[in-house]
Amino acid sequence: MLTTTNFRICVVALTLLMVMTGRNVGQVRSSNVRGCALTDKGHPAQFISYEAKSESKILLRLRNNTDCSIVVETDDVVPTQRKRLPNGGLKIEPVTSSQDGVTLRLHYLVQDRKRGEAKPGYGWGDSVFTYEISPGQSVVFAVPVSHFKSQLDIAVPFNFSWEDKASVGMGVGGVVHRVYFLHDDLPSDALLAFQK
Amino acid sequence: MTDGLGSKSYIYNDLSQLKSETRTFNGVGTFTLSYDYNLGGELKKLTDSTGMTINYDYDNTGRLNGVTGSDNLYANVSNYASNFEYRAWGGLKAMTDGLNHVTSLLYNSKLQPSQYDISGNVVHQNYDYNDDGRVRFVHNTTDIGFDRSYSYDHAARLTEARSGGAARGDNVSTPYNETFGYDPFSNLTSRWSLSWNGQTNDSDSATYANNRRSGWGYDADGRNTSIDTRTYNFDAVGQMKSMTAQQVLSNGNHITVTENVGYDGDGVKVYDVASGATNYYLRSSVLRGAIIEEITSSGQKNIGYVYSPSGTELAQQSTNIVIWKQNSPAGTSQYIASSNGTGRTEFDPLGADISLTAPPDPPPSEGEGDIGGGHFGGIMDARWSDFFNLDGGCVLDGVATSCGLAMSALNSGAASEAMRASYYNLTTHKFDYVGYVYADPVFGFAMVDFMGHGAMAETGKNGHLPDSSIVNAAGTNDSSVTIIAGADFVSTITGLGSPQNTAQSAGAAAGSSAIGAARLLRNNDCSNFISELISISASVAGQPWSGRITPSFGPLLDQNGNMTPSYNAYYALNEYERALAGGRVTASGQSGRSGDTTTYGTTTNNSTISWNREFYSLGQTDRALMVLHESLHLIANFSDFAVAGAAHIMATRGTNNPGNTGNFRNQTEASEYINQQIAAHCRH
Repeated sequence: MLTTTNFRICVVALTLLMVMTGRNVGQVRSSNVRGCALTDKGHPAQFISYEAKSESKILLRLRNNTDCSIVVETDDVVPTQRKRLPNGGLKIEPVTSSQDGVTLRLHYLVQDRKRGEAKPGYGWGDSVFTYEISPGQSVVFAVPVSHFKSQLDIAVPFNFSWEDKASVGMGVGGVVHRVYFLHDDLPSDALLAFQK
Repeated sequence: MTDGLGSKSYIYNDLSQLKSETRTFNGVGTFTLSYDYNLGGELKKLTDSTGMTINYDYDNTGRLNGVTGSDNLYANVSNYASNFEYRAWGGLKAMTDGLNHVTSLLYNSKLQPSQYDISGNVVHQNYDYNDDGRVRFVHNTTDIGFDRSYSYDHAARLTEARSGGAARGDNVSTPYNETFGYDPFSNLTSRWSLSWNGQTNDSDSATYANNRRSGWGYDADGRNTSIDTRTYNFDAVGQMKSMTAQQVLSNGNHITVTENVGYDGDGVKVYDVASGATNYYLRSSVLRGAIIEEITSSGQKNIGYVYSPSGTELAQQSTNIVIWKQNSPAGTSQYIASSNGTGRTEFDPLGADISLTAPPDPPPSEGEGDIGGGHFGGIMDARWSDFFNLDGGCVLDGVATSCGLAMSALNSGAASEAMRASYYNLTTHKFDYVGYVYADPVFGFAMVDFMGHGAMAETGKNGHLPDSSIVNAAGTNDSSVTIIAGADFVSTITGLGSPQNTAQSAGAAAGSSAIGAARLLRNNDCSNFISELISISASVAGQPWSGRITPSFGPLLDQNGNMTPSYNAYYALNEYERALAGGRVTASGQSGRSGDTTTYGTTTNNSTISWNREFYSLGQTDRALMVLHESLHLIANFSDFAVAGAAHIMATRGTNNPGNTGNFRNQTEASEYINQQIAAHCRH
C-alpha cells in the first residue's frame, strides 16, 4: 500500500534520481523510441535524386534513407507502379502494399531561393491523401519542366510517421520538414533535351 | 398570409426592412408590432401591441450597451439592462439588469466561461470541462447542493448526471442522480432517476425495433402516437395538434386532460389550450419568431417578453411586475429577479424542474404525467419536463414528446436542458436534421446575444432556425447562430448551454455551417443532385479499383436502378457530423490562399477536415456549400478528381459528348468544378 509517507519518499527519491542523471522528465523519451538512424551513411536522411525524363516532365525520386517511416502528401488515393509488359508496352497499376519506387502525384513546393517563398507546385485541391514511405524506400514523382528555372528549387514537405501527419503539405500545425532538390542538381543534359 | 387562425400582414420601409407586422386572430383581435432601425441596420426600437416600446442602444462598434423601455411603460420600468462590458474578443464581460444586479463572467483560454456570477449572492458558479469541450463539473459555491457532475460514454453521450453529494462523492444531499443507457443507434434504452436521496427512485427500460420503441404506438410516417395512456394526434402536415393523457390528482383519482395546439401559416405554434387556459402567441419576425406577447382569448396581453436584439429573453412582464431572467452558461439553472426579490429554478439534463429542497411528501408514484406538488413539470406544462415520468414526460419547444427523443436531441447537440428546446423543423413540425446543430458552451447563456451582433443568415429571413434546436425559457421558440466579431472560430446557438452541447469552438462554427448545409439539402434540386453525385462518384472512384470502395458503403443503386434510401443526400452530411463528433473537423488557423486560388478547407485521407481562415469569412450560404463539398470527401476514395468526374458526367448528359468525366489538369481545377456544380444546384 502506498501511504502518504512513503509516497513522499518515492517522490523525493525520484527527484534525486532525475537530478543525478541530469534528465528532465519532459525530455525522457519512451524506451521504444530510439530515434532514426541512416540506412546508407553516404547519403542524407532524405534526399531527392534525378531519375529520368518523361515527355514534358522530369522524374525525381525521393528516398527515405532512415530506418523511420516518413509521410508525404499526394493526390493519389492509391499509388501506382509502372510495369513493362512482355510486348514492350507500359502498364500502370495500383500498389496496395508498401513497395519501393511507386509513382505518386506528390505534393511539392517550388521555392524561390532568393525570396524564400514556397508555392505549391501545382493545384492539389482540397482533397488530399498521405502516403507512408517505409524505411529505405523511395517514391517517384513528376515535375513539369517549366518548374525548373534558375533560382527555383523543388521542396517536398514531409513528416516522420511518429509526428502529427494531418495534411502535411498544407502545413496545418506542428512541425513540417522539407527535403530539397536544388536546381543545380539537375543534370545539364536533362533540360537540354527539352530545349531542342 | 391567411391561415386557419386568422391572418398576418407585413409593411416594409424603403430599405426593405420590416417596419411593422400585424397579426389578426379571428374572434380575438388585431395586434401590431412595429420596428425601427439605426443607420447600421440594427434594431433600434420595438413597439408592441400595447404601445410599449423597447429601445436598443449600441456603442460605437455596434455592440449592445443598453435596453430601455419608453412610451407606455410596463410596471413603470424603463431600465431593462445597461453597463455592458466586453472582452477584447467580443465576449460579454459584465452587464447590469434593471434592478442593479451585476452579471459578470470569466473565460478560460478556450473562451469557455470559467466563472459566472450575479451580484448580491444570487449565484456564483465555476466550470470544469473535458478536453473535448464538454462540461465535466459545475461548482455552485452559492449552493453546493446543486453542484453538478457529468459523465459521457465513448460516443460523447451523457451517461451520468449527478448533483450535490452524488456529484462530489460525499454524503451531502443529492437533489437528483440520473444514469442513461443507449443502444448502438443511440436510442435511450435505460434511465434511472433518483431524487432527494432516494425519496423517489424510478427506472425505465426500453427496446427498439426499426427505430420504434416496443410498446409505443406510431403512425405510418413514424410519428409517435401513443405512450402508455397518452395519445398524440397530428394534422395533415404532421404537426401535433393535440395530446390526451390521464392525470393523477392528489386524491388518487384520474382525470383526462387534453392539450390542443394551433399553428400559423408558417407552421409556427401560435395558439394552445391546456388545462382550460387559452393562449395566443404574438411572435416577432425580426426577433426570429420570439414570442413578444401571450394573449388571452379576450384579446388582453397576459404576459410580455423583452429580448436582446438577437432574441434572447431578458425579462418577462406579468401581473404588473417585471421579472428579469438569466440562464446559467451550463444550462443548469434559471435565475430571476423582480421587485419581490430573487429566485431560481434548477433543472436536470432533460429540463425537469428539480425541487430546491426535499419535498415534504413523496410525489405520487403511479399514473402518467403527474408530478409532486409545488413545482413545475406536469404533462400540461409547456415549460419544463416531468422528472417523475421517465419515458413520456419531456418537452421540446413547448410540445410534449418522449424522453428518448429528447435525449437523442440532447446528445446530438440539437437541444439543451432546462429550456424549451425544439430540434424539429418549425415550419413543417417534423423532426428532421437532428444532429447538425452544434452549440458552444461558451455562450450558452445570453452572452452572445447581449453583444448585439447580428445573427448569421442561417437564422433565416423569417427569423427562424427551423431545422435546429431552439432554446429559450418560458414561452419562446427562438434561436440564432451568432458569429462573434473578432473571434473567427466561435459561433453559438444562443440560449443553448447544456453539458451535451459543448462542441469545441472551431467545431461549433463548422457544425453550425452544417445546419445551413442541411437546409440547402431541403431543396429537391440540391438533394437530388447530391444523391446522384454520391452514387456516380462511387462508381467513378471505384475505377480502376472497384474493390476498394468501402464495403460498408455498398452500391447506391439497386439492380433496378433505384437509389438505396440509406445513401441519400444526407449520407455525406452524416459523415460530416460523425467527423465533427469525433473531433476530426478542425480549424487550421492558417490561410488557404496560394496565388490566385484559395483553399477553404482540406480533407485528408477521406477522414479529417481542416478549415482554413478564409472559410470563416464566408457568408453562411457559402460556408454551407463548402460543407457539402468537403463532406463528400469524407466518403472513401472520393477525391476531387472522382467527385468532379461524376459531376461532369451529370453535366454532360444529353450533350454531344455525354457521360465523360472531364479533363481536369489538377485537383484544384476539379475542386473548383465541384464548387460550381454544387452551387448551381444548391444555392437558392
